[in-house]
This record gives sequence, structure tokens and C-alpha cells, in this order.
Amino acid sequence: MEEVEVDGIKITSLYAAYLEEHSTAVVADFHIGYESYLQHEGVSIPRYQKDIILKRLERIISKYEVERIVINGDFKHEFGKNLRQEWREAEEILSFLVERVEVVMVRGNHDNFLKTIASRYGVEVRDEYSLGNFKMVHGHRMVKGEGKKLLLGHEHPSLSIRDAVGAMVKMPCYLCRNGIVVLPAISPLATGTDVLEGDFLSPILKNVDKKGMKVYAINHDELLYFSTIGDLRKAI
Amino acid sequence: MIDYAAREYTDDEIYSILTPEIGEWFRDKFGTFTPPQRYAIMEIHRKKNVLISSPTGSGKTFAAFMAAINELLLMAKEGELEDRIYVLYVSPLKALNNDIERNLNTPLREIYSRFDIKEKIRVAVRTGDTTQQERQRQLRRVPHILITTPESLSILLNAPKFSRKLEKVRWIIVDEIHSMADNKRGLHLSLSLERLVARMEDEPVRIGLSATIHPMKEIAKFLVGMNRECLIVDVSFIKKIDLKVISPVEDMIYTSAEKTSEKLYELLHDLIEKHRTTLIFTNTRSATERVVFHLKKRFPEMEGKVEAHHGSLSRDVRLEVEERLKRGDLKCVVSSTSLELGIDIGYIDLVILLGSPKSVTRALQRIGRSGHFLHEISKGRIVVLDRDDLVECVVLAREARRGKLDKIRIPEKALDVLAQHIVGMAIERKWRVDDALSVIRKAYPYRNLSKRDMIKLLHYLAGDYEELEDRKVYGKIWFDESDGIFGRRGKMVRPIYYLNTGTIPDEVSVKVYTVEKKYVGKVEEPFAERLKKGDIFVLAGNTYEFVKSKGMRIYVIPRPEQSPTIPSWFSEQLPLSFDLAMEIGRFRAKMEKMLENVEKAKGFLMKNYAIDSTTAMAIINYFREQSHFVIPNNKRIVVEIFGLDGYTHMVFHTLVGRKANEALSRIFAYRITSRHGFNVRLAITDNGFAITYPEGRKRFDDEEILSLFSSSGMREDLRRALANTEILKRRFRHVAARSFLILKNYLGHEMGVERQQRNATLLFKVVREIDPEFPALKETYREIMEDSMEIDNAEKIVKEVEKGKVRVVIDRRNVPSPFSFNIVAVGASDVVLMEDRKKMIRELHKEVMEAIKWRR
Repeated sequence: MEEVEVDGIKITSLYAAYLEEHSTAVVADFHIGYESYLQHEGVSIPRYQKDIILKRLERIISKYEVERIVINGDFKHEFGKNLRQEWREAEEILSFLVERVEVVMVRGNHDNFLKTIASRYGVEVRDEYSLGNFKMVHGHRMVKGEGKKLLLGHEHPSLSIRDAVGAMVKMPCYLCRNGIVVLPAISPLATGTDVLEGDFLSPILKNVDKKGMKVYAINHDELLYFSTIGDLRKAI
Repeated sequence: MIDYAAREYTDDEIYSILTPEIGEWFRDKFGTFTPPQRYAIMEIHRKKNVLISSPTGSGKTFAAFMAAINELLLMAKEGELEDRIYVLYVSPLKALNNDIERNLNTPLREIYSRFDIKEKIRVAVRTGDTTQQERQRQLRRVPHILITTPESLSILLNAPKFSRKLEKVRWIIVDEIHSMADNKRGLHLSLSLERLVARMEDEPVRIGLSATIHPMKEIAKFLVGMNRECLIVDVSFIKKIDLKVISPVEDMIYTSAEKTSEKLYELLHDLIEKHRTTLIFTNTRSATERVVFHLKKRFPEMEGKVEAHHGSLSRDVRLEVEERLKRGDLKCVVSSTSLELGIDIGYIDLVILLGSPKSVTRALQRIGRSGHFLHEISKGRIVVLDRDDLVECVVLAREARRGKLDKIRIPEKALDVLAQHIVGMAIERKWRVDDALSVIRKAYPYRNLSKRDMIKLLHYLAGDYEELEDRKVYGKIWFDESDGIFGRRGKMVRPIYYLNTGTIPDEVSVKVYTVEKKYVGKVEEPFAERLKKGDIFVLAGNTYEFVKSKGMRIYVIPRPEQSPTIPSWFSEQLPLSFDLAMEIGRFRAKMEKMLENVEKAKGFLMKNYAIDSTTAMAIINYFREQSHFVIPNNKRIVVEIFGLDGYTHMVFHTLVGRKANEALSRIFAYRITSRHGFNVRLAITDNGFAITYPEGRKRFDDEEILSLFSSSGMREDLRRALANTEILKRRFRHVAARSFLILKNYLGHEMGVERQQRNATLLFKVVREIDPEFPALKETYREIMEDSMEIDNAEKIVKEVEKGKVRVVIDRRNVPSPFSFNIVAVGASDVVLMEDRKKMIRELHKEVMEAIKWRR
């Protein structure tokens, strides 16, 4: 399958949740400039993310004919000393988006200095954003749910499993439970950590029963349902 | 021209060229010259390059230094010594001070105390441990003889002031050259030497010192580089050896592990008691510790008389052990590889090898550590504990007595090592590409470097995969292809070069304890990181379940009955050499023919292999058991197929040495996964390999198995098989660090191994998509396929099958044959994944959901 509807939210193999009644796609965790961050650590990594992210966005827009895209936090990674390249990439992605759709930005924990650049494209940066019964928030800070369904980023969930002969694979995934959807990172580099290990980072998820979270993993152009974290932990 | 030194000069001839002082001193001290000195000194004096291979205690250090010291003394007498380096001595060992004290300073002091000589010849050591103060001092009072390591030499080449003092070096001595010629440290050194010589007006004399090694001509070329002459002095066989294989127990199958262990330590103790000083070699560091522990525990009087010596111990501890050994305070020292090299360890009269040394050359080098004087016999005993080891060592010992060494191979065209030197050269000055290329191609391992590879490397070092304005940040050099010129970019490059040059990768190990806090051994950090709760893995031959990790420790529960669930990618075992494997294959064929007549076979073994009748019978019985199945040999590959514990095992008895098996097994596994669509597990040993998968996936008919033996596309298949393996990711980390793609030391901070690996994994993912020909990626594949594995020998054996010279026999059974036991017992060495990732994940999904259903 390419998409699944959970609590009125369509989660897709394109790293985006789609809210059909609002013609809106929600994506999170771009981490633009991650390469520069690595550069400062002493890693000569070529630019890689921007083209892939653009391609992913293009597919989301054309497939669902969305009118609005919500960037649900961590649009960029870190604006270090060599600003130019990051700014250029951020601008390129933003201008690509504003030409095609309405853009809404939700602030993440990496998003300082974002306002300046967003305002140039007439994009407002908010702490959270609601559409009808849905609320989009990055997840690094506590917010009130107000009975709405929550779409979160921040966690970069992915699933690592090993097969009968010992082969290991890692897939980005969605986590869903009782009106909460945690989105995978759209960044192809910051793919995150295994959902079967450790606890959530987000204070919003602190009291959520992790074991009961359902796992939908992205396998190239399809979504695979992997039951719940609790079931997975027991079975493998 | 590379040639053997033909003339053994007389004392008179040699004394005639020496200054009276050194001659008189030598005559009083030694009287006469040793064989290597007779062959080498005169030739070096005549400015000939010389490679010397001779046993410990044969005076080879003097053979190398004598001609140079003689000249220096002549100058010192006349007060003509200049403030520059005349002799450059490069050794792979860092703790040199002691040896130098004995070999150089003492003789010099003695000569100076006896004669009135105007000037002093200065000797200095320069390594990574040399203090800033000492470096400054060396610049003010330049040593005439400089002792250094390959790493420090490459840094010296770029030291603005000090490098000038090297430009008129007249003698370059490379010690322990055999330990560097087959690896990247040696490649690095070969380029350093060419870079140095390229700046000089006159060619210096090169002198190499080597242990027993084959082929000498290759080593000579490695020493002198292209189009230069060299004379080989090989007197390595003048020392007699007494080598025997022994077993502590008569029955190697039905003796319990406890009993075997008890007998083993009794045997060791007995041998130690009967000799003055014994050196024991084990094949792993953990075994070294274990042996010392048990000897002390079982024989309390050994406390303080036996110590361990291996690379994981601190330098101080090792030095102390060496000192105590020299003083004669120790009865016995146990080592892994650290004492293979020529550190002076004093008088040893017995070397014990615990387990097979896996190659004839290594056996001879280890045994050569005993009998310190030339006329003494090197005495070695190989102790074997299982029957595969027994057969292997009996064949090995015979080859060693016959002087049949295995061939070493010099790696070629390693691009990561070259990348470092190109950066170094760019720091020096601007270069025309063709000029640089001709310097590089003079180094023997780089003689075949293509201009295309060079250009590609220059582009990548210049950051040309980036848009123009980012090159400032990424590029370490600038490169103008149309003008064919490259040079340094920015000020940051020099510190990057100083702090990151070198070829030995960082490794950090994690200690493994049982939950009762008993120490078990070590695993490498990247492996420990991937462990998940409940995983079962192999460590030093035992299986353990992973429980939890805490800092740099992990905790496990012993699970002796269970098979491993995840492969151990990192094995510290020594690989059986191809040449020795071939010889064992021939031995098997001989044995098979003689099995009907036990008495005759026994006599044959005892006579030709110098073993007693119990040992001979153990071999004969092993072969007789196997003869109920099929005995694989040098002309017959056997493929056994049987089911065990819910898995189908296909055991390939391919006796081609471990490195060729590493290649062959992955190629076959890849062919199976790509044709039939499932992942398989591999167990790889010296004597063959097993491909394993859950029972019921597929039944292979004979034709399908035979079709695996096809020589077309083997390299490409191996490349693809490696694409998703752990070994590739890990080696990429090493290569990326060597290529300065990942800087271990940058802007004043150091990157830990764990972080290096994480970053390397990301980098790997990116570059393989951007450019499959990316130099660091290309080098990673080359290193694995040619250095860690032996793709050419794998190809060779498959071609033999195609030509009908080697036959493949398929044998389907319900149980494994005796020869298969050790292969199956390995459990898991690696996995080969299906190439179609999407399909593979779908299969995995099915499996997981099935497991969840059953759990509910």
C-alpha cells in the first residue's frame, strides 16, 4: 500500500501526512544544512539533501494536488559560520514551495534565525498551527492538545530489524496512536534512531504508552504495517 | 637490475676499507665478520643498494650501518661533519631507544673513548612521542644519524626548516621491511622515500633489513623503487631449525575440554622447566592473557616468572617485560604478535607456537626468535589441540623445514595513501601533474598508477564535486586541469596533514563481562553498538547472549548450547595462506591413497613429517572417518548438503586459504541470493565455507550448484555482494579517514571512533549515490577484494574447475562429515543480502508479522 488513513489523517510513503479535507500536506524535519554541520566536524560530505527533498516535495504536491504545505519544525539544521550555502538551499526550497502552494512554518528546536528568511517569502513562523480538528506542532515543547488530533515531528522515528540470517535493515516510519501521528523525517541524512529502543524525546509523548504505538514503515514507494512497538519487541 | 650478492668478502678486504679506529675496535670486540656483513658492507661502501635478510643475532644492524659510520668517522676525524642528516634510519617500531642505545651509541662511545676524534657523531630519535623541546633542539644541533618511523618521516617531509636538513641524506636504512611491504604502512613509506629523493641531487644508498620472506626480489623492488639496482643478501637459512608438532593429548576427540586444558598446561610447564627462557606465541591477544592466567594459577611458583606481552598493553608495561626478559628474570613470556618484530629480548632457547601460525613464513619468523647466536639452532614446538590444526601444522612444519615460504603480496595503487601524499606534496609547492606522477610512479607499488586515477583523485581533493564557491571549504588542494597544475589551498591544510597523516585506523574495543562481572574478552566498538538485547554472538570460540551495555563495557550471559543469531564481523584470527592450503590439499590426496594400508601410511608420515606414531595415528584415523564421506583434496572440491537445527547448510570444502574463501563464499552467496531471492548466512574458515539459510526456502539440484562455479563476472559479483555488508562500511571508515575525508583531528578536537563510524556511514550513503567511482569508494573495494580477500586466487580455483582440472563432487547427507564440523561450528561470519532491497524488506515484513501472529 502507498497510504493509510489513521484518525482521518492519510499517512503516505512520501514522508508526508495528508489532510484531505484541508488539501494540506504536513512534512517535518528537513534539517537543511546538515552537511555543513558535518563539515565543521571534519567530514567532507558533498551536498546531498536538497535535491532529494525537492523531489520528495514535488511528488507530494503533484500526487495529492495539495494547496498548502505545513513544515512541521526543524526546517534547517544549524546555521553555522558559512551561512551562504544553507541560506541558498533554504531559499531555493522555500521559493519552490511558495510558487506552488501556501506555506505554513511551525517552529522546531533547530529553527533560530528562521524568521528573517521566511518573512522574505511572506511565510509566517508559528509555534503551532491548527486546521479544524488537527493541530500541527513540532513536539520539543509541551502544548495543550485541546482535544485535537496531533501531528508531531522531532522524533525522527525509524525501525531497525534483523531477519533470520542476521541481516539488518533500517526504515523511516510513522508512529500512530489515539489521535497522535509522529512523522518520519523528510531529511535523507538525519534518519534518526530505532523506535524499539529507549524513550521518546518529546514531552508531549511522555505519558503516551509507547508499546501501544502502531508502526508504519516506508519501504521505497510503499508503506508496511508492522503492528505495535510492544508486539515487535516481543516478536524479535 | 635486481640481483643476488655474489661475493663473500674476506676480513682483510673489509678491514682495508675501514678507518683504523673502527677496524681496531671491531677486531677487538668481534674478531671476525658474520656472513651478512661479509656480503653487504663492501657493496654498501661502493654505493650499491642492498637488501639483507638474515637471522636474529647475525649482526645485520652492523652490516647495514658499518659503511656509513665508517664514512662519518672519516669526516669526524677531519672535522668535516656538516650540520645535516647523513643517515636516515626508518623502523616500524616506536620504542626504539633501547635498541639504538645498544646498536649505535654504545659502539660509538667505545670508539670515542679509545681514540681522540675531533667531532662527535650525533644520533637522535624522532617519533610521535618526541617532545617539542627535543624537536627544537634537533633543529639547532642537527643529528647526523636520524632514527624515525614512517609516520614521522612523512611529517618531516613537510616541516619547513627541518626537511631541508634531509636533502643530502646519503644512506637510507629501512628496518623490518618485511613487516611493512604487505600493507599500507609500507605503501605510505614508499611514497615518502620517493618524495624525499625527488628533492635531492644525488641518489642516496638504500639498505633494507628483512626477516625471512619470499619473494626477495619483490621486496628489493619495493625498497629501491623503479629502475634502480639492488643487491640481495639472503643468508636467512644459515641458521638451523628444529621444529616439531606436538599434542598434549593422545585422543583429540574424546578427551574432555577440562582434561585437554589440564594436559596442555602440564605440557607447557614441562617445556618451560626444561629450558632457560621460553617464548610462547598465541594467535590472539585474549589467548595470551588466558595462558598467562592459567600458568600462574596452576603453577604458583610461576608467579613473577611468566608475563604477557601484546599490543593492548601499555608501552610501559611492555618495556618492563622486555627489560625483565633481557635480565633473565623471566622464565617465560607469552605474546600474540607484538614480539614477532625484532625487539631485542635477549636469550630465548625455545619458541612454542600455540595453535597453527597459518603460514610458513610466520612460523619461521616466530621460531627465529630463539637461539640468539648464529651457530645456535632455532628450536620451535607447535602445540595443536584439534585435528584440523594437527594436519595443517604437520604439513606446515615440513614446508618450513624445506624452506618453502608463502608468497607475500604488495598491495598496489592504494588511493587513500596516495591522497595523503598528494596533499603533502601540494603543501610543499606547486606541481605539474606529470611531474608529480613521475615521482609517484617511481614507488614500486604505484608504478602502474594511471593518469586517469590520478586526475580523478586530484579533482576530489580539490572538492570539484561541489559547486565552485564551496570548494574553498571542501578542497584541500586547488587543481587546474587545463593547465595541469595543482597546489595547496588555504592555511588549514598544513595542520590537517600533520594531525591526520598515517595509515593505522583508530579502533576502540569494548570489554565484555558476564553479568557476574567475569571478564570474557573484547569486541570492537561498532560491533558492540549494533548488538540488541537477546542477540547471541561468538567471542573467542564461545557463544554469549547480549544483555546490556554500559559505557565501554557490555554484559553477557554464556549460552554454550545456542547458535549465534548475528555474525561476528570482526575476527582477529590469522588467515591460512593460499600456498599452505594448496599443500594441505596435496597432503589429503596422498593420505587418501594410502588409507588402505595403515602401517604403510603410518611409516610414511613418521618418516616424512617427523612425527611420532600416536600423532600419525591421529591423522590416519581422522582421514578414515572422513573416508565414509568424501575426502576433499587439491583436485576435488566437495559440496556437502545437510539439514541441522532448522537450517540447510551447504558446506563447500574449498581448500584455498581463508582470504580466497572470503571472496569465493561471498560470490557464491551473492549468486544464490540474486537468483533465488533470499538472504543467506555465511560461515567462513581456512578450509572452506558454509552457506546457510532457513530450511524449506529452496532445494538446489546438482546443476544449480555446479553453475555457481563460473569464472565470468566474479569481480562484479563480489563487488555487489559486498555492497550491503558491515565490512564495507567499516573499511570505508578506515579509507575515508586515510583519505582525509573524515578528519580524526580537526580544529583542535578529536573525533571518537564511534562518531567516525556514524559519519562514515552517512558519507558512504552519499558518495555511492553521487559517484560509484569516487576514489575513496573505489579504494575501499580494492582494499577488501585484493588485500583482505584474495579475489585472484578465488578466480584461479574456479577456472581450474572450468578446465576440468579440479572436480566438484556433491554429497547430500543427513549429518555433517568430520571435516565439516569446524566449518559449521563457526556459526556466522557474515550475511549476504538480496540486492533488491525493496523485495528483501517485504520478505522481512512477512517474517516479522508471522512471528507476531505466533506470539499472540
